[in-house]
Amino acid sequence: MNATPERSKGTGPRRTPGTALLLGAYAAAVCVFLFAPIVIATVLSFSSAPQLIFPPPGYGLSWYKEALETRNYISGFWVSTIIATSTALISAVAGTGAAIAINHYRFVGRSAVQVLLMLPVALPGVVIGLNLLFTLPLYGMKTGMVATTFAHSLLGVSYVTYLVLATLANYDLTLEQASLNLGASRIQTFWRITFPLIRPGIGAGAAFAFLISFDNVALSIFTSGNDTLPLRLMQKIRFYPDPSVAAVAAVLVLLSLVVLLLFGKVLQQRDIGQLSE
Amino acid sequence: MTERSPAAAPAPDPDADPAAGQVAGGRGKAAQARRLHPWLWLLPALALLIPFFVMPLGILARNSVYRDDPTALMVPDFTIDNYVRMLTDPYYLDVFTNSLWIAFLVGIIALFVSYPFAYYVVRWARRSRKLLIWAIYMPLIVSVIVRVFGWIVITADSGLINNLLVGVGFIDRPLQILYAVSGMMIGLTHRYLPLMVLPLVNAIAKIDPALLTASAGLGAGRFRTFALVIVPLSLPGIVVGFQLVFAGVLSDYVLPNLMGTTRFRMLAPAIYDEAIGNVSWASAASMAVIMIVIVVAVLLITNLAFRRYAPWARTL
Amino acid sequence: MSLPSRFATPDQPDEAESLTAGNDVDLRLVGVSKFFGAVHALKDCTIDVRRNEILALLGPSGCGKSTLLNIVAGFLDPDAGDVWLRGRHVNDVPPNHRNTGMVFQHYALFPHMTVRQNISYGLHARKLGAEVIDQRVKEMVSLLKFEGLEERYPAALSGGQKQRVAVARALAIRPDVLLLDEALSALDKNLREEMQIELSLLLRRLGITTILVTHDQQEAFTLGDRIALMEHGRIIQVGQPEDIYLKPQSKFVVEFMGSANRLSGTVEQTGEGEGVVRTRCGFVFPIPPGSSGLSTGRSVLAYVRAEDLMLSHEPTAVHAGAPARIVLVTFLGAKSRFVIELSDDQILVERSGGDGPAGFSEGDNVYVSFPLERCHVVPDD
Repeated sequence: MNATPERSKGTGPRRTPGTALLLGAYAAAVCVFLFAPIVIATVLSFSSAPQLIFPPPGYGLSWYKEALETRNYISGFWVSTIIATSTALISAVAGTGAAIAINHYRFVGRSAVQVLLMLPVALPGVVIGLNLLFTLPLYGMKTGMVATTFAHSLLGVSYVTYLVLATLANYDLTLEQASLNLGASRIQTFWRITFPLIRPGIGAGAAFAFLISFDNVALSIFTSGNDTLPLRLMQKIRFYPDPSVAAVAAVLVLLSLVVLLLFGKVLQQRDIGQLSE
Repeated sequence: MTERSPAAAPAPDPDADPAAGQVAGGRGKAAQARRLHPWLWLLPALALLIPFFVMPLGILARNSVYRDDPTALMVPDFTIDNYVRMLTDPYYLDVFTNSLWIAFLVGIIALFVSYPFAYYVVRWARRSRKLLIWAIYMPLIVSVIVRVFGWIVITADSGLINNLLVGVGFIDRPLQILYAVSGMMIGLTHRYLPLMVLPLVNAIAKIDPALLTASAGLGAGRFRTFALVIVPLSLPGIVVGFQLVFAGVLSDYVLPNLMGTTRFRMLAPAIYDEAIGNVSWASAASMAVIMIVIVVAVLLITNLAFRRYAPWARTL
Repeated sequence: MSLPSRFATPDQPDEAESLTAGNDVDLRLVGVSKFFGAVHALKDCTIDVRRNEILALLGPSGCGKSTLLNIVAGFLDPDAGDVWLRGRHVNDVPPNHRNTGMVFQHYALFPHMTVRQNISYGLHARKLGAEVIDQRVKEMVSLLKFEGLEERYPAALSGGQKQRVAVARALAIRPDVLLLDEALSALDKNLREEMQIELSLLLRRLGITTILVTHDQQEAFTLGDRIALMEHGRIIQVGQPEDIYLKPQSKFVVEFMGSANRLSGTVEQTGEGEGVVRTRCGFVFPIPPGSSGLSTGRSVLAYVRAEDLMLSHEPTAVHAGAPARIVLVTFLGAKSRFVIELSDDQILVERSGGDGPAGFSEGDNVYVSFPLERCHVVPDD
């Protein structure tokens, strides 16, 4: 009655089909749990009724039409997109520089810098947001897109640094030595050798920073009025929810997938062997 | 003709500077210029972090000892009244204990929900492993607002669950799940589950299968092997997962705001209300400082406990 | 000829110029020392490399040879001492301005560039014209014999091919000095020996000054015009291969060079007042010519190589001690190996020749002797 182990060596206690079925069903249930709200929100976006009834009484695209005509959503979308793009750029530059500094050099204060770069993600978002609320007036800055961009970039830098460092772990430093030895300057070495080879990591980091920024609430509530899309959605959900939120939600899911696919393609293209100089 | 090069006695070189670092060492203008290099690379990151992260932390600490004035925003002072109030006023104490309690509960629930799933992913699922890992990552990519909205539809008084239960005749009146602690906890568990699953998967995957064969060979049944070999060896993953979930839940703003209730106040919305609603910056600052202390303390305590009670696990 | 003091500053280039220009010395290191934290990696190294010469830095791992090479290339700064390349004091010159060409142990070929782009990389950096670059690339391809591979990426090359491209890339820039950092050690044995010969011929034909770092004695001997043996950060002995092998000047050199029997003994005076060495296992022989530091009563180590020892069934002239017994005979094909027991000590004797052990079998009593000039006696420190 005991099934033969699936792996050839060291498989541990024998696995019965019974247990496999049970655990498999459990895993499926967890997956259902994980996807349920997303699926339901997406289905609801096609509802024809104004109430949040599930299953919807009828189907249609009316809520998409409604969402696309709501100024609130449109302007929120653009604000969030601009902030997220700027955040991705700033994070990519700052994070890559930090990763190179940490990876290539052993300098006094290196561990302190590593800890510092990890802190923005470790500390609660509301705390960082609160701190910025306190500090912005000192720099003569007002809450708004610029402040929010800088705030989101704090998180972005952390993630980009981490991802680029991971890429650098597989990176051969003697390549840079070879480049210097052959006569290239340090700047040339960075652009022609280092950068092309760590581009995948930078791309992944930038994509992640974009998504993190777009989705961010804890910082935005302090640094922006009510301008970003998540904040506007939150407000709508709290006070007068209707399936238009679902429609926007569905569009956001699509957006996230597109961003990921885009960067996935970028990652693939940078495959060694297809890059030209 | 054999040459001989002078090999002098190894007197420590007075010109050498052993503390100059391993990069270049030595004297010379070029070497000194090179010591600046890492800092040049760090410039953009530091230009961002120092004014917008480091300095604000200092301002936070400073503000927490200022005084809130009903007429004039916040008055420079040095007082620990804010902190005293935090620890004595029942409102604030409630906020802290609520959040700690929920964070702890969700952490435990997440652990128990995740463990069998992680175990299955590592030890059983072969064809579906990649799919399952993707299934864990996917919700993280979708905006939290989207996920919360879905839960609202599911848990509302006229939502999916209640409609089902009432329709079947299980209950007469809808259960208050949404806008109650239970709804909030469902949402929190859902949001932070991946943060528990992934470290667990990593830790369980690292367990040497030979150990499990050895255990079976020594006569241990499946349950004994699971309890005495697998669970202890996955401890690093359990600890990391718990820390991530705990810190996340404690700092969460969206879930309490959208699915919680004002009768059960949580820390993050409370800080926001204090700062923006009440404009009591000093109060809010002291709450934030205490929050940081709690998070750091929990991390340290779990790490220390881990090291003390499972020293053998450190090398895993 | 006096060497410049190691406190010579760049303000006195004339002194350095005059010292090196006329002597055709491409590389001069004087008093170079390097610390890594508390580790004293290089201790006061001084050496010259002449034009067209191939110098092999040979030593066990950790002896500092790679550190020395990196200092020449400019990737590390010495904590003390000076480096002159073609008469130019280069301590403060960054690695991309030293005109040295380095071949790395794992080749360091740029994975995202084709072979052609790799080779022309240094030429582009020097802003040479497209035609010159093209010409140079063709030259390198035929010199290192990898026609047809120009458009491939490094991932599509075999180890041997990568090696050739790496050498070509370094030579393309026409460096003053070529630096090989264990460049052949990543190849498998047969390929390595092939490349050693090919490189040796190529470098001599091109007449390019070369420093190569290796831990492989055969490689050093095949490629090097001169060998510099290093141990624990110090240059122990420099000389041509035959000198190193036949006239080792220290215990380290002998032991590094190969399987030599090490016999402990003491220096004694004979009745006629002549010094002899008496080994514990029973050999008595006059102090070999060229030995130094052997005063009466000194403990010494006498080294004789396995292949220099001779066996016979009868006692021979001088050097034979008490009779010895063969305890093990191994036929290895090109040579035979005998383990001899000689009053508590065990000695290894090797005898080449396809005719095998030829009359000597286990259990035989034999007499062991050796030519005096093949014995190296050094003080036992």
